[in-house]
Amino acid sequence: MKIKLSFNKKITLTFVIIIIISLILYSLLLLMLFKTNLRSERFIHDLRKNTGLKETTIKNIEEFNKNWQREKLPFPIFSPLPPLIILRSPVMFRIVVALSGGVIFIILIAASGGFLFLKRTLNQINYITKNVEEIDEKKLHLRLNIKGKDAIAKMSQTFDNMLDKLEESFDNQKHFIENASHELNTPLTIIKTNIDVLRLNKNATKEDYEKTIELIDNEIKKLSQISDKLLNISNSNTANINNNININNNLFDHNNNKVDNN
Amino acid sequence: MKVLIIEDEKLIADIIKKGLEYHRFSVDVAYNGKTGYNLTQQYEYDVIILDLMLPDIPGEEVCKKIRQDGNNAYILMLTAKKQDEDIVNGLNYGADDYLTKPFDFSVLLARIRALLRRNSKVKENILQAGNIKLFIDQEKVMVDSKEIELTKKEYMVLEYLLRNKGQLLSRNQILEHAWDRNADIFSNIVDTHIKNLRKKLGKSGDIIETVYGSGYRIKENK
Repeated sequence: MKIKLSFNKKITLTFVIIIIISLILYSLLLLMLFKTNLRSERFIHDLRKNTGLKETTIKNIEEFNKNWQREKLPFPIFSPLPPLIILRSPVMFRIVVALSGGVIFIILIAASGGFLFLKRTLNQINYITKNVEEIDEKKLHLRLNIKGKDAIAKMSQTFDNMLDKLEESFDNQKHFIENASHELNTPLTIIKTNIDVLRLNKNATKEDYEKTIELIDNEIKKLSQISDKLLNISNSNTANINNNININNNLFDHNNNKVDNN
Repeated sequence: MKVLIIEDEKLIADIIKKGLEYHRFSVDVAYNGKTGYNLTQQYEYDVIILDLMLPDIPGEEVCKKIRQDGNNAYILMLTAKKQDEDIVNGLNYGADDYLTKPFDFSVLLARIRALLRRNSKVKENILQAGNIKLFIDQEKVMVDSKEIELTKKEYMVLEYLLRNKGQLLSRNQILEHAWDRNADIFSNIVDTHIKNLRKKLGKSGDIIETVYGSGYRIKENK
């Protein structure tokens, strides 16, 4: 069975597991501390020095702890505590408190630090995703604008650069199409208007008709030239559309009837 | 009525001029924005046909400048730009109408006539004074339901007078609105045409009143 979890929850879970494992390891550490402490020479030494116990009793405890051997069990670390525990409570208590405090403190700091850092990174990624989702061909001017030098900022800057290039190429293409449309429009307008004017002229002579036909013929030639050029451009390498536009503008200009000075 | 065409494509400008002249307009042509703008400062035009993609100044700028001068001539933008935002922009710059290329010439003609109707009280295509009727769309003049043959210039003079019925019009004004800018302003060509016009209109020609030293006027209907 698969449980679907959001990425955020997965991370939280991972950190919780890490903390639990650390705590288990820590408790094992404490366990070992108890065991070694009970067996330690110093402890015996302290017993001898400070208590009213008889020497024989101490010897017995020592013997007893020594004889209580770990080899009876396959995993010595999980063996139960020595059967006889004599704690000198203030010493042990201080050791345990100091160790516990330090270790727990370190675990918490490390875990929450990692967690926060990860959270921040995740938020940035979410921000980028959300913003990138908004960008389409009509909103190509949008940018992420994340400043900084870390990997995420660099990624978003690369993204912005890519968008710059895309937008430029889109603009070029749009410009090119507008240009081509205008160039096609001009001969069409000339043809259409000439026909209209001739049609509305009630006294048109044969000469008028001939003139108009010749003019239309010329304009049609221009149209087919433009169409050929457009075809050539689409066949040639379109990778460098900028050059094509420039070439094209020049080609178009030869066909125009533009008058610079009145 | 007088039209100015500002259009950089010579063939388009020339055919529009030819068509409009055939339909009894006097037409000036400018092949770039600067010349066009200068002409609007020198002469009084009724309608300005303005292309937007001009080589020197964009048409929108020309339109803005004309309006800044306080010139209220009707401006019709005639352009290949067909997008809604272009049309909105064009009209916002102060144009009165917008037509995209390629266009139908009869539509252009109808729109120009509609523009000329805008400020007049008469919303029909008929100008009337006394028993003289001028049918704008059919380009003919009738006196008592009898058609009168007029030359183009006579028709244009009569049209201008009828459009400004009751107003005193100087010879210069008549010259400006019925002739293009190649007219000789020192000749008495206006007087000659008025004389001929009166002759052709016969009795009804009395409706054209001479105001001494100033010009002419069509009498208001009683």
